[in-house]
Amino acid sequence: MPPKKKSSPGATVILIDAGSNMSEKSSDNGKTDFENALSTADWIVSRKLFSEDPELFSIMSYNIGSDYTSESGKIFKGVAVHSEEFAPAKFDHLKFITTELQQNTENTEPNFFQGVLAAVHLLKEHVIENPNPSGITLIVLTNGMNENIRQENIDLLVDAITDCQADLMIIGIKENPEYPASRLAELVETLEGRTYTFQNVASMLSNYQARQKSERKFNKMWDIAPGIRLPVTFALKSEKSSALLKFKNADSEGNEMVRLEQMHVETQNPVDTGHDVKSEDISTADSASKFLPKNAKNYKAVENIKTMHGYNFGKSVIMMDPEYLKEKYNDHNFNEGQTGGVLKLIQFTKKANILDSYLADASAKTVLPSLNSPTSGATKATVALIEAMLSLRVAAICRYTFHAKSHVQIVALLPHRDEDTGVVYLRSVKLPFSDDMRTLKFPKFSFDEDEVDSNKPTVAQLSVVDDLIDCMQLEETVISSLVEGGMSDPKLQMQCHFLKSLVLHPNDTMENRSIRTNEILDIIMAPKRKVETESSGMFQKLNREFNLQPIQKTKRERVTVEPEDIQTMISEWADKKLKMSSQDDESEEGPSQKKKKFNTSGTKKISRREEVRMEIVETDGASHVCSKMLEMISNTCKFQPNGSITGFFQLLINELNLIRSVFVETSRCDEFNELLKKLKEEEDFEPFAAVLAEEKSCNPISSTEVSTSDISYSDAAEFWEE
Amino acid sequence: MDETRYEDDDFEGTANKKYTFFVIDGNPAMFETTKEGEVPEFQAALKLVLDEMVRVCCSRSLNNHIGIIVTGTKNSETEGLENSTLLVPMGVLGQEEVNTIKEIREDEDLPSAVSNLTGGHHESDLSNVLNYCKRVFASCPNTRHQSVIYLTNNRNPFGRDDFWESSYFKRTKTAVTKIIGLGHRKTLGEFSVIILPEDEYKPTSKEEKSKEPWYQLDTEVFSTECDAAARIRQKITAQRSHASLTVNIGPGVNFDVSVFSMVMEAKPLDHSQKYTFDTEEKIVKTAGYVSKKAKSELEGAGNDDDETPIDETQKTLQRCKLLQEEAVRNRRDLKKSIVLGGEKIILDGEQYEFMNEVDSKGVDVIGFVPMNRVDREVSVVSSKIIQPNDQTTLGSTNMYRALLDRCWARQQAIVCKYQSRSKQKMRIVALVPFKKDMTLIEPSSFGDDGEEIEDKKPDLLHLEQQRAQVDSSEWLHEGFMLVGLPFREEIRDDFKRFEEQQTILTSPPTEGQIDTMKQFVKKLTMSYNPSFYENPRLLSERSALCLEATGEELIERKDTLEPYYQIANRLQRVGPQIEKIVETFGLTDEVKEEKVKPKAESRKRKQAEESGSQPNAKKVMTIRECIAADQMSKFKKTELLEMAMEHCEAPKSANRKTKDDLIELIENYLDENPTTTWNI
Repeated sequence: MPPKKKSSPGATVILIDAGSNMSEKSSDNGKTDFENALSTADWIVSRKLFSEDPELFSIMSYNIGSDYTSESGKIFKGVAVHSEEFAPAKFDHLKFITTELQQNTENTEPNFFQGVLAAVHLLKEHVIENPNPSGITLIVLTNGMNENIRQENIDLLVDAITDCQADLMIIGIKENPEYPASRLAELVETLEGRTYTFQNVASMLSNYQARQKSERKFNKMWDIAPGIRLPVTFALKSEKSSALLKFKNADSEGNEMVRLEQMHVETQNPVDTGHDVKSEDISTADSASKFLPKNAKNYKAVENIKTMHGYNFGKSVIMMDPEYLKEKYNDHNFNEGQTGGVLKLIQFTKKANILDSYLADASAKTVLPSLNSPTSGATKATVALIEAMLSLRVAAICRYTFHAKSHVQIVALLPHRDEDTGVVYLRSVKLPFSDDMRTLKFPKFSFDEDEVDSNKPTVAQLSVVDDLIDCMQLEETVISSLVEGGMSDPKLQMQCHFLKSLVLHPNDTMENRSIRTNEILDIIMAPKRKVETESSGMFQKLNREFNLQPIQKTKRERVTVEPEDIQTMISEWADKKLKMSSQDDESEEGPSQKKKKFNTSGTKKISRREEVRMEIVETDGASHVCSKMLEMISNTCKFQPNGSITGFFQLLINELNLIRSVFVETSRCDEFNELLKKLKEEEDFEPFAAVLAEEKSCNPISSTEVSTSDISYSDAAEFWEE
Repeated sequence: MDETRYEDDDFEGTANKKYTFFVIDGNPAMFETTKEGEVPEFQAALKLVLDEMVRVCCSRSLNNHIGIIVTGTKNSETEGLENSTLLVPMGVLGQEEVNTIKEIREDEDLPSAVSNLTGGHHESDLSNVLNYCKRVFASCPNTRHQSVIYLTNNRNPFGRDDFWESSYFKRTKTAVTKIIGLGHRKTLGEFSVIILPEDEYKPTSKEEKSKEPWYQLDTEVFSTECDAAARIRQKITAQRSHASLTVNIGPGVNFDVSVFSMVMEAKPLDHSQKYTFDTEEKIVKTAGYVSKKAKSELEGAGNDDDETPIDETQKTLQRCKLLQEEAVRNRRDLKKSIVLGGEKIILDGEQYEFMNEVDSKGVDVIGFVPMNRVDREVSVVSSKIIQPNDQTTLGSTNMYRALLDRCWARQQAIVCKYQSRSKQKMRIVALVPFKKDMTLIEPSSFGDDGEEIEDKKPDLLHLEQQRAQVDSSEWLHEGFMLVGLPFREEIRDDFKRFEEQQTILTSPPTEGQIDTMKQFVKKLTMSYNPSFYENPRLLSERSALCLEATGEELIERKDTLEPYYQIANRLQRVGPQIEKIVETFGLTDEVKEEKVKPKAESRKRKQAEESGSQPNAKKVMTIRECIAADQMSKFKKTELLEMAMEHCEAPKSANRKTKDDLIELIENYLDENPTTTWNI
């Protein structure tokens, strides 16, 4: 490949010490230095991998049993190279680091010198082929405890590293190192490199990173008066992160799948009737007819046909000609077409008038005076205007279009002063239009003196809440992480972790993920857990002061049934009913025969009424009948309401009335009245209860019918009225 | 993306229908003109109803069902509805229904137009009408919201001062109770009374109110929070919560809340359904997923040839074939792939879901921070409010209020882990308290309100906040606002930009320069409320649709986002200040270049406005001259109101004041602000 003119991506060698000296255990996490070195290398590569950084890597190790012979025939003792080819961070690198690279437990001659020379050699070769890299880095992971480098070799290394212009970084040397590690620290110092402990880097590296996003800056002229245009620069401040890793739709082989749409008219006419000239062309065209699938609907191309927009005016469809809309209404676009969009002052208003509840979505941008001509009057005027707005506590409301064609928006520019630099700036946020605001109404929390306030917190309650606020004050580090955007999106962390695990340890992926998810949640909740253990008494007190009682609720699942299904079911029932009634002339009670469906046999020759009676006289039979009925009603209520459900309800009402009459016959009432009460009060039965309330044909059994009933005649009659 | 999708539930499917009956009093007094220059109340009622009908028709939702009844008619043609006429039966509105009402309203002889339909006046029983409404509601599926809105000019139809003793009142009260329901059903029932004319005297004290029969039936009847149109809208569009969640404070301390969106972008009207121009046949869309290769081959083939209709047709057929035979119709059947680190990773749907799943639904309190540490402007979710929910945990309201009271007094926000549904993104949120009473804030936290004000004047600031409330009471709700805190990937650091500014802009503006700007800013500082600005695009779409559907531009198409300098009187107001700016900052060159165009435009506007102005103000006078000449009373009330809002920072609510009050308000303002004046 011919070298590009522009700078090529940076090149980095990660050189891992695999010698026996790396068995030393860290006091921090109980792991060996070798384990820590691997984990550090893993994080360095993983972060680059998932952020799709173009930086090129080569992984090497030293202090191992074998030797490395370069292409030019040079031999480096005790050195291993994963791949001479520099490549962007990839899973191969990770596999080498995490599974292939083994520690050499035998005592060998220290090879730091050889390792670094080999790394420098590779870097040099790389730079010859890819000149002008944006950076050259050599990272050595070692505790430096097995070295006894002679001064002349140190000098050689200094020369070699300086020669290839590499930045040297050594990770793993303790702070204030002793001899022999101190020799390496001296070397780093000479080369103006850096040293870190494993703990230092672990805290910096413990998160995956998202791809670098572009800055997205754009300039606007702010029209504040005829002819007065202030140059400002917008830059994105916050946005809702969508897909941080870009997945594509694919088939099972991983080939990308894309959406294909085809507009057509479904005509009733067969294609070859010749009414439509175009259709005829298709059917006669030899090639085209081959494309026609056998049972295909008749497609008519619509690409070249003039179309109309169908708008809904309530239930009416109003046809609109797009050309007319364009001509008369400019497609409802009020943009005046200025290139680069506009920012025009509409009014100022007190900042207090911009309520938090107006902020629609993540749209905050930082607006600064443009720096193209810092001494111009316009720039000075911009700064003076922001200062004036700050001191008057006002925000500017402006007409805004992003570019020449986008629809107009309304934005507020709110003045701010940066605490660190003292720079004044504006924050732009999108404001809602009147239709975007939702009309809401809530019970009030503030009461006048003469009003009854039933939920007023007591002094004791307020005081325990005060304790809670005191105990749970977040620390500064937590605030900057959780509140001020320091924390990386857990979703990204989980995705990266999952994918990495899938490639490297496919069998443990599920388990790994759960562990990691819990880790992330634990980190987020850590401040609270601490308070929970330290002040458990306070929570007990809270519990006592506020008598919070959950209300058990039965879950109700929604079953979707197509109207056709219900139709079929009803007709099935009707069929059965016919069969039944022909079998035992009990046609009056026909509808209730549907119960047979659940009782399996159609051959029993007893009526439904008999059946119910038999059941009721059994022990607990009455409540059993009622609960079965309730279950049936509940099942029916789960259907999506539509026309045919009314038919269903009617059947149920008939059954209910039948049960009622049997109850009266047998001088019982409690179970049935209880059943009706449930129907009326529980929201699950609402659709059915509404029909019952409408019909008023099925009231509770009153004391005039069954003497044991505690419901009076008039109460029963008005049961559904309330 | 995922966050917004389910907020659209309102637009989808069959769920959650809202039913509203408008009941218009048909007594003869409704057809009389009580005040000169104003329309009869019946006509005003029709206008309110028609406006709302049009609004409902021009929305994307088909879930609002509406019916209209006129009471007190000779005819009683609808079963169960005595001496009342059903103008529009309960159902989804359409062109026909809107035009029916529109024609009645426009009829020059309104009384006879109405009596043609109703057969003339006859006493009727409101309770009978309400019972009819209740029966209709009961027969409708999926009722989530049932509402009756009664428009009348009769303060006491119950015939006697001790109305509560009359059996008519008792009957009506029972009927109202049935509509409202007892609260143990999911359906929200409401009965509202709109007394016309709107500006009639309204009692304010509780004692006085309770003497009014309508107050006994609708406690909001004398509410001054918003006008009749807004009240009707509230009744029709009341929103349900989009999530009910449990808040965990600590071990064993849980309470329940409901989450409501306070703002949601109203989308452009749906016109995705296309029809052929000539035959008005429906155009159907078949869609599916095909391999990228197949698609590009298909498209590549067409580009080689000339674009003739036959080729298009063939291409269509090819596309159809591809879709029929090879395409994957359902996106869920697809796999997900990503190329990373030299590997192509393919996930099936199950793995993909598993990867993204965090199951920690609910609100988990992490701790408290001072409110000023929460930068509410960078919130990454649209603004939401949480409200206590006693229906699932008793005592929730109590707990919520204790937290609200203390957090507000101490200006503390609650930081929580938040997930609204198990498939939704997990977020860190701040619950920021809001109460209307600023005096409840405890002094210790008084000064550091986080507002970056040059001269910290908390008292002044609170005064301004208090004033802001008057104007936006419609949108102000006490409670905890939910602010979505950004993750690192969602926020950009401005530090470098600020540093750059600091190094390049070395000379800060002088006091004089800032003062020049202050004068300019002051002149253009006015009150603000989102209802001032309508979405011009939506307005235009609705206007066009209405014109097409009813033959009349019932909705005026206008650009509500005009910059101030295109409105002549506003531009005039700051004329001297603009000149001062040009002079102070030496902007003459730039102004010359641009001056021509906007001036011409503003002149045009000015002419238009002048020709529309009324005779006694023909001569250009300043407001101060007007007062001096004792001519203030010559203005109409609406004109005074406009002036008061425009120049005197008067709130919108000032329209409830009398004309004399308004004049006084303007005069007082001018006394307090000796430099303020304007031309008339």
